[in-house]
Amino acid sequence: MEAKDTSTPDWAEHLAAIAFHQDREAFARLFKHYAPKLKSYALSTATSGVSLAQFSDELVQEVMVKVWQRAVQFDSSKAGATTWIFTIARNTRIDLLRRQNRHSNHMDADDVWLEAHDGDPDTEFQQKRTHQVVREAVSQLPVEQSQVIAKVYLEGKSHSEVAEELGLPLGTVKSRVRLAMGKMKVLLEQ
Amino acid sequence: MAKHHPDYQFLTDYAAGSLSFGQSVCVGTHIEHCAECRQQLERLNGLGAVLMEDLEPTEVSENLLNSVLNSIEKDLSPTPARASKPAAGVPFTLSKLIPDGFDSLNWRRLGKIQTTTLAVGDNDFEVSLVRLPPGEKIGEHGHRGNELTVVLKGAFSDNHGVFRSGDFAYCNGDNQHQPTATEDMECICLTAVDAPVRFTGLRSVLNPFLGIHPA
Repeated sequence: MEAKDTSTPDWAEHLAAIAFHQDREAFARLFKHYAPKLKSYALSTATSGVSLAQFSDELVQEVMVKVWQRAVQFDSSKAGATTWIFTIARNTRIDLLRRQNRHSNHMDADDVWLEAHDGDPDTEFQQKRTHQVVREAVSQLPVEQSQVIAKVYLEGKSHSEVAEELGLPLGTVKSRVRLAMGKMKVLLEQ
Repeated sequence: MAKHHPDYQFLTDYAAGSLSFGQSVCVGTHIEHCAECRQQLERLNGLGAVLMEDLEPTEVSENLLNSVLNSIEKDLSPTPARASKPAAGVPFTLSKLIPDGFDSLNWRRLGKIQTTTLAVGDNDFEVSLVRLPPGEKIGEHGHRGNELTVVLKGAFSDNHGVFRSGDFAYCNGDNQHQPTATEDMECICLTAVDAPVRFTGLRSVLNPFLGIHPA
């Protein structure tokens, strides 16, 4: 991997090349960048009784197939490429876990976590600025805050589950998340 | 425009995918109706993207790219965006569960109130619809667990205010209320509960017999 600077390649353009020219080389580059991240995301999942090695390969495969199939639906004015891929990964993880728990009824995560539609999205400029602020702030969070954020997003535990695991009152977990969100300027002005 | 929203705890757990499926059905239904929460959700999704992007990469076997390319080979067709329109008044989120509209569901009667359970696939939360005729009230009750409510049609009021179509309400053990449909039309609500409610007053004799049936 030579390109350390992840901001250099324009992944939105890669997605457009896949959508409109079925560009396999663009897809291979996208795969090389995102698949190892997706695998780490899958491996961070807190599960019981699931073989994570197999689970993580399944997740990478399903997500990347969806990225190819849905590249046409990607709209860079509504979300950044990485955000779009994150939402696909999140939904796929939910479905894979539900299948493991034999909840394979006809409801999928895509029914319940709808893709960004109409409404009033942040402009692309705002999106990029938000990302930069978040990225800088996230590395400077105190451990007790970043730990809770990681448990919620990466391990996939709800606030209540985190509270139970850490033996803290729910209110303490909530306020840690709230402080972290404030520093990262993620919350819209109330 | 919705006036009552889920707090950031619900929105964060939902954005992270860590909220239970039954609760997510409620939050998702609200978000469908609420531009404000959609915008907040995009920010929270963006945080997820940064956290994923910042993970140390894990090596992926060469075979995996090939097997992805193979499955793409078999099916090159791009998937169209969601096409089917839900029945009148039914949110997209519930369209698979209520394909033919509210009246086609199998409602159970409890006096003038009607309810029906929706099989969303959740072990802990029972998700159901509650239908109140105009002006009808649900007896005053407290909660043994968590209760999430989204108004789908009409409006109800309780000691927390008036909740109209799209509004989100959350109650837990600390709150007692007596939701009453407004007089102008019937009220249909989506609810998710992880424990039976606890009636106060005369109806409290029912409490030992109340249960929930997650589906």
